[in-house]
Amino acid sequence: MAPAEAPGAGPEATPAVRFVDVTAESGIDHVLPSGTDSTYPMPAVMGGGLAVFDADGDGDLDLYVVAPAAGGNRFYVQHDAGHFTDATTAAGLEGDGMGCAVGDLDNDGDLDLYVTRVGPDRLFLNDGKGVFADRSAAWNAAVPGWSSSAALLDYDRDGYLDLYVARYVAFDPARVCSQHGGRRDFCGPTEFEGLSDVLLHNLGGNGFEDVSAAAGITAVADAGLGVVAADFDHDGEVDIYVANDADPNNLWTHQGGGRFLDDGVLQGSAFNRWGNSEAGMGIATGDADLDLDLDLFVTHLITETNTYYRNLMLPGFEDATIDTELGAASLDLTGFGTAFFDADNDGDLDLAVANGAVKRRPSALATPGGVDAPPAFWSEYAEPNLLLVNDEGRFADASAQRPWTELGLSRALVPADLDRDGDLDLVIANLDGAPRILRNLTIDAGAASDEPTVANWLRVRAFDPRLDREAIGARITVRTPDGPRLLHALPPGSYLSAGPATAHLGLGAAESVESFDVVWPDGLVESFDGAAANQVVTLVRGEDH
Amino acid sequence: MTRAMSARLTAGAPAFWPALALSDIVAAILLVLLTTAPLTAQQIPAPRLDGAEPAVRQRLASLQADLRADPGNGDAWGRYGMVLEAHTFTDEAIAAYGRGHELSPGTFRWPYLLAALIDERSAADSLQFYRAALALDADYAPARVRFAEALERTGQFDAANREYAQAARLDPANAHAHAGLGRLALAAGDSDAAIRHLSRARDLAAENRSFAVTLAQAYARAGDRERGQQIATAARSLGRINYRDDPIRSSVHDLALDARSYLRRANAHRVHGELDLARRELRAGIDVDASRPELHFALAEVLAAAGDPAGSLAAAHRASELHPELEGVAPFLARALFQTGDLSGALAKAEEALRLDASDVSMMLLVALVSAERGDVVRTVDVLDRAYRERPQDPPTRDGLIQLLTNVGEAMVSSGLPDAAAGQFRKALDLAEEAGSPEAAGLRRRLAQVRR
Repeated sequence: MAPAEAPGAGPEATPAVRFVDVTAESGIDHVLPSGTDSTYPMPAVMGGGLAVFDADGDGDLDLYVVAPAAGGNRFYVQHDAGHFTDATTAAGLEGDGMGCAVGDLDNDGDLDLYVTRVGPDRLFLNDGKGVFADRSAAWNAAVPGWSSSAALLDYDRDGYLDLYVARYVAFDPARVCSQHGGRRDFCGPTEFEGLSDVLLHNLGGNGFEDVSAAAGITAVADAGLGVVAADFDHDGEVDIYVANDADPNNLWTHQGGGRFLDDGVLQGSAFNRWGNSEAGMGIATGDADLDLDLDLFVTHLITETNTYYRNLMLPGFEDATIDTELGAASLDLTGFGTAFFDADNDGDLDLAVANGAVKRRPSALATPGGVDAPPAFWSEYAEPNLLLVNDEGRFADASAQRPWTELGLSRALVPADLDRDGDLDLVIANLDGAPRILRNLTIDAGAASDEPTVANWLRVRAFDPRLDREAIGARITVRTPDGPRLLHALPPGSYLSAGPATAHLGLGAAESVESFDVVWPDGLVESFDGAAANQVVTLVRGEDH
Repeated sequence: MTRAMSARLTAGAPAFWPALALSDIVAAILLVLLTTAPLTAQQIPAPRLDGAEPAVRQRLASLQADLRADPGNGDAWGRYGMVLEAHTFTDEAIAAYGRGHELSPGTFRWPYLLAALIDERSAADSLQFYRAALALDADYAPARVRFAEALERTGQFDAANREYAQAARLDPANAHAHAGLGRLALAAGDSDAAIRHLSRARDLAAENRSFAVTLAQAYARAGDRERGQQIATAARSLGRINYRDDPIRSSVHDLALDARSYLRRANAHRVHGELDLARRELRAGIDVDASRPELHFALAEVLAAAGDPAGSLAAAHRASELHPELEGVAPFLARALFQTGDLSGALAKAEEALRLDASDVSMMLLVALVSAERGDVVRTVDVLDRAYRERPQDPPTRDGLIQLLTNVGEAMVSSGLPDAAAGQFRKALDLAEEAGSPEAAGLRRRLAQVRR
């Protein structure tokens, strides 16, 4: 993709990581309709979902954007590198919703699409060529109520992906809310009853069975927004972490036999350091401190910091937001989508956060009608996004220049190498704005330099030929010259979003890795030979050295 | 000051601080504090008020007029800041407090309120104002605790520890000071000290959920998961809002004049059992905006708790008129009407409640009671069967259902219908066994008798 503009020089020191907004020449111009109006409907300020996935199996990544307003969803196929075409109608993907999840639910080798909504959810099965059929009813997938994010997992290890659907609140459009001396505004979650989440067990690739009650997850009814599923304590069982809006977060630990127990309080991930439940929105997960376990990062409301939960493997977590200096940058912003990703390919995980207020800000940041101004309705809500670069365990705010200073109502955020050049780009969904594609210039900068590159990379794909799909949940330890690194085959879920399950590893100056150790979702452990940098490596179950 | 804050221009900021971000506002306040140049009356920070409630507009206009008449009155500026803050006009409140602090440098509350407000956006930037406040009154423990918390948020753990300890010495009953000591001990890996301090905090403020869950976590870290789980389970019943004993900060929120603030204050009074104060707040809120059903419904609940069934019923009816689907109103009215003997009204409201929530077992029981009262056996049995299939989990509802099923069973025995009676006893027994109820044994015996 050609840059839309020269990277802007920020007011502070030139950062090591630079992105440029290439949306204008990508062919994506659809404004994601929120459906907001003078009644301040709450779904309009919470939506804005996104999936980045190879829908048609041609090897490049396509986009599906999800809008709260009727008929607002759009599906874009990538053809030439970086150029997209609207294929919504041809693909059968019209509609509306909140968010989505992507995975091969029927093990036929292509990626299917689950769309969460304020109302019955929808399941679209892929024919392998990027044409989808709505099989919501046949699969018993039409989960009622306000669903938000969804995560794929194979909790019973039968080879078929199950689905955890986080649900939000029992929204009542008649409820009137206000602040700032009585000015009408969007309601918050505490105005309504929370909804219990839903666990759908995959019946051999032919449909779902709602096993929520038997799994024990109906024991609570909280305002769920973000969800990730992974084995946080390395006990071989997949766990589920749910970010709840104003309610304590849940850490559903699998007890075996399909039963889950919420152990978030005792494991230190339900409340922040202060013992407070926060307005949990999006979740990033990754090994941010390079100690070979998965940490958590949860985004929150203005006046709350985003929170970094460091995995101590006691089992349990500690709120290490202060130690990592992740608090100050977020205190004045409302965070939604987020992801740990190695933005500069230096071997550690950085962070991006999509922001946008849900109530009028105490002080508006946008100039109505100004350059890059959000729509007038949102002028008191618009906020900039954040890029936070990992510097030996402390995160520095690297958002002082465009595109990070631009204002909008951002929600879902997905890192993915859209142009396949070896660094991770970002796609961000914006309410009443076009989805923004931020191209990562790390590789370009290296190529333009006479110096040896310090931004080598690997993409690691864990493939299970028995299932004809990527092994979601596989844990991969990569031996690099700089020490071991932990990867997971997990679609980045964050907030209302889905992305590729293929893991990305920055290698810095290292030109190869020594080996890969894989713990497959069924518990099998295999080792694979190392590989040279700057390629996609596929680790095939059963083909270890 | 973070980069994110300093880089942003805020064209929507109030006229007093045109196009400024927080960093600029704080810098300007400092400038004001260091210079003697007087500010003109035209520079009174005025928030955007389109859509604000008339009472709020009037109050702000009145205070602005006072300031125009006497712009050098620091306390008037501070009071104006309080009213602004009470209505979440944060930028304008910061500016007003800053001016109040400049003009009344000997008044503790203006730098303290300024610090607390800035702290919501940047703990680091708040520290200087906390220090200024504590230099004026070193013994106000809530300020020292907030100062300690700001130090903790900025990673100055040793200094925070000293301030918490000082606050605990000043006011041994300050639960937040003990909690701060416990939190720092937990983060430092000293579980025993954490348990000691957090237990003290919880003893002082048993209603505080934050202290309880942090204590539960400390026990888990110390290896006593069982004790931790007990505390965590008990904490579930605690509200998410933790109140602080800080009269100066509380006095700000008492100034809010919009309808929802009255509701918020009333709810706080209800938590503490202060029903008269809650009623007063709700009536004042209704005076401000009588179209808010949630105010009327809250008033209905307060009046019911205060022993005024007629007033309660009237308020609930008004809430229902304004918003028939408002959560909880229909069941509330159904119960209230039943208690007054208006069975037809109660039945109609219970049916309305069931249309809104078909799984509300308590309403099914009410329908069953009224139907039984009217001799409608078929409907009584039918609705009890529906209730049975819902498997209610909360003890009062479940026990009520068991009792009703038993009563209907006995009535059927009396009517010479042992097979039908056995069916009712069987359902009651199922529920009692599922709940581990001691009534199960008696029901089992009765069922055997009926079957014989």
